[in-house]
Formats: sequence, C-alpha cells, structure tokens
Amino acid sequence: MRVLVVDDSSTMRRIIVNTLKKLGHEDTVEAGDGKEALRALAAGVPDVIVTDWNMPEMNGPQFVEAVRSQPQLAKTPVLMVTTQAAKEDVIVALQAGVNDYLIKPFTPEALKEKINSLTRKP
Amino acid sequence: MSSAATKAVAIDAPPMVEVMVASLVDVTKEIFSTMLDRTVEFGAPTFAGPQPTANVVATVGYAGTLSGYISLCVSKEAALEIAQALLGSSAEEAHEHVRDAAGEMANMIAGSVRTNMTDRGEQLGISTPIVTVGTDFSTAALRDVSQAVVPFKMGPHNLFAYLVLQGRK
Repeated sequence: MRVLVVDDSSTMRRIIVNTLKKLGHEDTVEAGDGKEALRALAAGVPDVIVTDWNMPEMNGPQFVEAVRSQPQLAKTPVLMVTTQAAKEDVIVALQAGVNDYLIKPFTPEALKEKINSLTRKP
Repeated sequence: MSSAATKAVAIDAPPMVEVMVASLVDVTKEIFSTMLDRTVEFGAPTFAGPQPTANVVATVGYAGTLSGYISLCVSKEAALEIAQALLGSSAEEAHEHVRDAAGEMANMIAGSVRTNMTDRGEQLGISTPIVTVGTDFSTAALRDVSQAVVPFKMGPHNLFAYLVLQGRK
C-alpha cells in the first residue's frame, strides 16, 4: 500500500512516515506542499493521502479540492491530520472532500485505525 | 498607593490567564503523553515574569479576540529527548530535527489551547512557530501584559510553558 504524506514540516512528515513504517506501511511518498503533492499524484495514484491543513502556497482544503477535481483521484481516500480542531474547520475539510480527520496530538494506534478504516475494502 | 496594594495587583491573576493556564496544563500533559509517551509533572504557576531562560524557546502567537503567545522553554538536552521521542528515531536523526520538533510541540500545545478557547466562544488564529536556539539570551514580554510561568518536569528535565496575554483581563 502506498501512502502520500503532505506536510510543509519535514519533522511532521518524518513523524508520520516513521509511524506508518512501524505499522507496516513502508511504501511512502512525501510532499512539502499541495503543489508538490499534485505533481507527485500526476506520477502515480497512492492508496491513501495523508495531508496537513496549514501549508504555504495551497492549504489542505484547497489541495483536497484540487485532488477531487481530477476524475482519477475522485475516490482516493484522504485523511487530514491537523491541529485545526474546531467544528467549523472539520466542516470545511469535509466539504472540500476529506474522508476522515485526525487531530494532533495523535497516537500511532489512532493513525493506524484511520488508515485501516480508509483502505478497508467493502 | 501602599506597597501591599501594589503587591496584591501584581500577584492576582486575571481570570482569562487562569483559564488559559488550566487549559495549557491539561493539553501539555496530554500531548507529552500521546506524542512522546512521557509523563510530566506540573508545579504551581506564577503570574509574573520574567520568561524563564532556556536553550530552546518555541513560540506560537495568537491573534483575534485574544492576543498573545505561548512559549515552550526547554534545555538542549530536553529538546533532543523530545525530538527523539517525537520522531521515534535515533539520536543522530533526531539531532537534525531538534528545532522543528520543539516547534511542532509548541504548535500542538498552542493549537489545542486554541481549540479549548474556541469552545468558550473566542475567535483565534495562531501563527507559525518561531524557534530560538542559543546559550546566552533572554526574551521578555512588554510591560503591560498578563503573563504566567508554568513549570513542569519531564524525568530529570525542568521545562517551562510561558503564556503572555495582551489586552484582556
């Protein structure tokens, strides 16, 4: 399973990637902002996208809207991992096309549950 | 004005500062436990400056119905332990991420306090983290602000959270 991790903080990307590796997900691709992520997506569709909210150039909801505007990415699961925890923020993210939401701080178990839930075959 | 009256004004904490300190303590305990698997023990806060001295100071600002900032103040040894625990990596890899790890911790702490304040009806935005690293420096808030120094321990390390609030009592 391939996971695209999008966050402008290289440290937060490392935290998420290291956690994913411990959970058995070795195949990860990293991007530092939404535009870089869209370039990565043009090269191949991952099984799940994990994205931050607060990023330069293109924030998380804008990035997800761009993802959803592409037919081949319309059903790719997107998990937003962020400190933006207000109800209004969650609504904005869901309206943009996010499938699920994980608020920092998060445990490895919480990340595992969200990833498994998003990638579970019906 | 008597000196006793002056002293009383100096040590009486404005309610909003007390509310934010309570939130700060709760979220810091949770974040250190969840993200670092570390238990922290808090001491009594003091509602006066100066900001504690430290090797690594990670600050996140607030703007909106409340204005101010929160700083996480730690030694370089504590900062390295935080980075190593946060990344789940070797000391060598963690060393490269000491600044950003402190910034991420401050970001999560300030973001979680923001969420608590939003639940109380405040409208707040937060800044990106600013991290200062050095061995011989001090920082200070402006004179006419409410402030709180909140000490806590992580194992052998003495850490501080520092809260500054401007314009609201």
